[in-house]
Amino acid sequence: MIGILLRVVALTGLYLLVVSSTKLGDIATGVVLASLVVAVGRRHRRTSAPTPAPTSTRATLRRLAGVPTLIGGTVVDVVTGSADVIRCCLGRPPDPGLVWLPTGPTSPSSFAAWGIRLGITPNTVVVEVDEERGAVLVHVLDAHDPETVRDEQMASYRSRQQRVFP
Amino acid sequence: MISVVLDVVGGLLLVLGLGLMTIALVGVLRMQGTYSKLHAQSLATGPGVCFVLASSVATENAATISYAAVGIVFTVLTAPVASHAIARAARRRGAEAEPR
Repeated sequence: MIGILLRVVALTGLYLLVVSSTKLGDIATGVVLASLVVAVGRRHRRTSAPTPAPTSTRATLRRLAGVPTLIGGTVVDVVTGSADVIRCCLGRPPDPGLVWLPTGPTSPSSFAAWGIRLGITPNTVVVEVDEERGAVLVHVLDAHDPETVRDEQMASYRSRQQRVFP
Repeated sequence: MISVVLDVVGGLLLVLGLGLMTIALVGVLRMQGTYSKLHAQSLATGPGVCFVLASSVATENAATISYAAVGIVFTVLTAPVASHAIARAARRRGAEAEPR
């Protein structure tokens, strides 16, 4: 229930940002449109994917508590990744290459979140996603030690994302 | 007073964003291979665009700032997807080495 409410609130907020208004009529329109989108999304998910196990309110709140860490950690990753890319743009990339990042997320939403996190960080480019193997193929600017890359990415996944998107 | 502060912050964000985009351009021209160029490009389409859009705070116009905020949200969500699509296409066309 909390998840549905959050989706409606987020979509209504997005609608109000787009129309740049906080008038009562716009808020009502936003709530109606957001509720429709959420309802259609739920029906689509029910027909296209197996129903996920119901989560308790406490579990949802625990996940929400991890959101600041997820956002803050991702911002830190983007800043450090940007610094790496700037160094390579102005100098010479150390040893670019492709690296498989195995294990990690298990659910589709978790995979999507991991992919966006890896993609938004300039020093990693997501090349391939293998949901069956539970692995992501990424291109990194310094791949001379693939194990270090894997360890760093898994540590980042565990510390920043696992709590919100297990 | 607040107007001056917002002007300065907006100006700094704009310079930072344009600086990142310039560095990204240099990287795209200098780096070898599709994947490496994508790293440089993501510097422009990620932090670069976000800083430029965030510089809209200097306008002190709620509508402009909210449009920029929406722009930042959608940039953050769509830039990685575009980058992934290009990288995937490059791999399918046989670009570069085997994974390590």
